[in-house]
Amino acid sequence: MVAAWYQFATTVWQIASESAIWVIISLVVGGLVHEFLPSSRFRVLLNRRGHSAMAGAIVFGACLPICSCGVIPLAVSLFKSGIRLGPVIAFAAATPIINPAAVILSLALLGPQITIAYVLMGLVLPYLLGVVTERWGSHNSRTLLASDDGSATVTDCCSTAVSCCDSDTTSGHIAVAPEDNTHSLGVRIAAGLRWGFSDLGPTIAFYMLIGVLIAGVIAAFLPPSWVDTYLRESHIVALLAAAVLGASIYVCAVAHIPLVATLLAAGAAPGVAIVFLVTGTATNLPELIALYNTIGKRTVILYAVSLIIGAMITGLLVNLWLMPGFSPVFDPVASLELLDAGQRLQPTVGTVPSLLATVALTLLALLGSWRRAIAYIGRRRSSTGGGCCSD
Amino acid sequence: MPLASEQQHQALTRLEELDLLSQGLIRKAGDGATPAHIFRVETRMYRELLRQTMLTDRQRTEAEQLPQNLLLEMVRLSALLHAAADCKTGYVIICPPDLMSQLRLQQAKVSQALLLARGKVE
Repeated sequence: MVAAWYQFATTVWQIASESAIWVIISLVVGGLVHEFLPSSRFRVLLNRRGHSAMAGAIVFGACLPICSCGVIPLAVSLFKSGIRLGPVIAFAAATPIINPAAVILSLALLGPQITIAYVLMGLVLPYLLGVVTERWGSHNSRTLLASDDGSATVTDCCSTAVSCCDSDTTSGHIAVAPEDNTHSLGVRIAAGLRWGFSDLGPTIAFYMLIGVLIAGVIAAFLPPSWVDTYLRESHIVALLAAAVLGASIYVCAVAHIPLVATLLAAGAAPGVAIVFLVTGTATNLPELIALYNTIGKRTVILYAVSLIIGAMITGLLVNLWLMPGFSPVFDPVASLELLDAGQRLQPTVGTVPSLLATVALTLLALLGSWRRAIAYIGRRRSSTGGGCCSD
Repeated sequence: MPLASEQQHQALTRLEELDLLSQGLIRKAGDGATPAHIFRVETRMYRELLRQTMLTDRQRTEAEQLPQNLLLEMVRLSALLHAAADCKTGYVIICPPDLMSQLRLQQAKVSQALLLARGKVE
């Protein structure tokens, strides 16, 4: 029991401390995107009909070294700034799956064939996810926001423009700042950062906190040998287990490629390894829960199911292509050089910035929880006739 | 002992020293008390010494070179150790159980491959 608690605590801390700096950076960028994007030409570019907007979002995402937790604020702010659902989802999926460091590491340790499959999967799967969610996903969250007059933040039950009686606000939607280009650059930057850290940040951090706690519980009860148990087989159940487990736990591409490499060398099916790598990096519970409550329930269910099915189909195809007898072959010296190159591309964050970002993220999560509690009490009061909404 | 075997013997001795270094690193990764910056420096040292040994090995003829399989296993172990170096929790290294179990398995494979190589040389 003590070991399980220890595992829970270290997993929670690890996910939070690894992703915190990227979430904070993403909140800064997301706030600026929200302030400046609606009036810029870039919005027109990202909202173009057809395939180019989706392809652009995937290429842009593939160049960023951000994990699946760090991409949430940026994806939500793009969505709330009026970007089409398809490119937003494609961007959110492509960013954590593929980045230059991960591709180089994959080439160094998994060999050229798996790397080709990984890159193709990392480019095609986000595109398909974008198409599916745009076609069948829920677009109503943004519609509700567009009708919001939106200058308010939920700080007090009765004194804000968006009150506790507004179900939209209390269900996790974030108020949109009115588009105004007349202010100076400094005022607009301040407004963007205020939106990022006052409106978006607490909401995202609150849902991330729930997801991180659930991920901690899963890690505490998952046996340490699960990798050997599930990822060494090649049948469809192993593919499903790799996809579902990968989508639930926190996996960072750069950190998990060496792990996948040792599994492959020990005889794991290449399809299973790649399914785990792609679903694991594409998403995790904190991300799914945050997106579920901000972008839309139907969209996220479609996203998760399509990701798992798409990854499984690709895994089967990779198995058909490379099995039986696949063994990654590479030159040891060249591999070490590539490992060095990959690690040079991977930004390292110092301990102090990482700790400060974790504290900031925790404070945002506490603020988000406080607002939820206030909103809940407000709803309870109004339902019993004593609240500000009863008149 | 012929010169080629002597050189191979020396190279294997260097790899065995690296094996001891990696065993110590894995112990440190598991104890949850090793400062991250120290672990990172030692991991880098492991990689650089491995690279040096491999480059020296390259200069010999193919028949006199160390087994490629052994070197590949050590490269994989080096990559796993670097992944462990990224698992810092505050100031210390704390690795998740799945990574720890893979590190131990890989270490066992490297030690086994070293024993096999030593058996072939002697």
